[in-house]
Amino acid sequence: MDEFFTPEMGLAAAKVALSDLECRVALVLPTTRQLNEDGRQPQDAWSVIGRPDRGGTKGATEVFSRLSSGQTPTPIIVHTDQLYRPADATILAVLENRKVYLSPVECILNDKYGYRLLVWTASGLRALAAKSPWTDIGSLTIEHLRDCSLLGKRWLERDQQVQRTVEHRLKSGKRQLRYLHSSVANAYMTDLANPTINALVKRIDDLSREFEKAQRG
Amino acid sequence: MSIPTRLAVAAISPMRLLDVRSRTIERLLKLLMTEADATLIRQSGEGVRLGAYYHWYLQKLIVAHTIRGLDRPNTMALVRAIDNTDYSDIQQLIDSPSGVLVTIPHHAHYILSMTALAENLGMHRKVNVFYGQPATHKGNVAFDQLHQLLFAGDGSGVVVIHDNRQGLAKAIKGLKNGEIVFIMPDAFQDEDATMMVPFCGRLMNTMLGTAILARKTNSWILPTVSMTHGAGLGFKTRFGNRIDHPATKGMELTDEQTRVADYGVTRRMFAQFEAWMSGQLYYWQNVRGHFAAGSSEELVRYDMLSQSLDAISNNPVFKAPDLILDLR
Repeated sequence: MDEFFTPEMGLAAAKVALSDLECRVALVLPTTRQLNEDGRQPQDAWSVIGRPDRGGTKGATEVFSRLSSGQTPTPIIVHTDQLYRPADATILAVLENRKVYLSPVECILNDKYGYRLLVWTASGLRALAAKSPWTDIGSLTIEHLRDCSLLGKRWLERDQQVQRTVEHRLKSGKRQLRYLHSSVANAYMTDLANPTINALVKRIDDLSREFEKAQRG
Repeated sequence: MSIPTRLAVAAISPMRLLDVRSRTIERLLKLLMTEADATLIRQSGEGVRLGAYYHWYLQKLIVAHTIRGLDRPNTMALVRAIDNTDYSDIQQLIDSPSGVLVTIPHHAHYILSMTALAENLGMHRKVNVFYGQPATHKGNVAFDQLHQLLFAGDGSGVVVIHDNRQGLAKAIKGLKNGEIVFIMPDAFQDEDATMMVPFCGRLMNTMLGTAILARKTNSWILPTVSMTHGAGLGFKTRFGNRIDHPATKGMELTDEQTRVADYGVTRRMFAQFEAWMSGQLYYWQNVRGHFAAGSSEELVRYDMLSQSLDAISNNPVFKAPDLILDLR
């Protein structure tokens, strides 16, 4: 027996609560196997934003272009927990003791397209009216992701969330730079007089400096 | 090491043919291993059997157990009894007018190899044994104790220095004065400060510290590897070919070229290690970590470097955030 408000309850409550006339609603839900099965029916009518390679989901860009083209808006499920990669999570949220990257999808839906947000948390669905401050949206998304971890193994994206952290991005970026630097050194180690070395290494150094500066915010 | 013990190790050498996991053997050896570890060990070379790894682990335990409690003469007698090294190669170290970095990876009986070599060299030249300080490498307390037992006092010509700021200063000063420094280049503390070298089928992170030390002190490098010898307890230290840093040969280099030269020296050193170690990589202390974490990708080819640099520059991980939200 779950002791908190489950994502499945969230989806069921949203289905009941939404009137047929209210199309501009984005429901932020975690990715669980159960929810994927329960959610099939509304997915026919609703758009689901997530990682396209997860199945049954669309990329945010595709949904935004449809909204911009003037097509009738539909309710949207947002699996923001799938949007952790550098290309997807581009807002840096600065918290008391850490920094994490969030997706801008909810903010854009709320601000640009006038979507009301219904965000799942363990204590119930939390609503944010259209045009809410982005800091409110960010704080609620943080709360959502924190409560997702209460789902334990049922949360299918649990192990990926580390990729939101600045530390992870720094490590990943530095590894790529070390890889590139090693490749340059490996290619030119027997041709030390080649002036190309200076240009290549300098480019890597510049990239490294800019990267560290950007990540430190 | 008693003759019966050595015979016993040789007698159970057929266990090296075993290729199934034995929880009983692992329990007896106090060997903490997962199924993934077993797979990694098998991957470490063609036809590698788990039994060979068990047999090796048993040898390490026996050596550690036997040395504990021995006095200096008996410890050195033990080391000499199982040492099969040809020391004629060390004359170049004794005769060298400049400092020498003797590099030795954590392979096979590396402690015994270092001990025996230090004793042989210490009679002629001052030897500094450089390794991680016990404050940050807890396992190295045992090395400190062993070196204290064997080399305490001024007569041995062997001193221990740790890889902290003072230790590094001593190593540099010693090398500049023409002393010998033993260093284990297959360990590092800060991954961000490493470069990647191809090593035994994987890319391996390694510091360029040895090459930098050689460059800064006009010293040269002698790669050495400890190898097992025979079916029972026994080791043989193999000596490689001398490596000179290009900067010590009068070559004028920019900062960027210098780093590439440091890398080249390091790469040549590991290539020599690889030639010996690849056939018995399971004797390497880091074998499991190497195959678990090491990348099987290859370094970028010469003709693809600019293209790769462009691709990496455009990778989203290098972009600054679109927006910073202060939620404090």
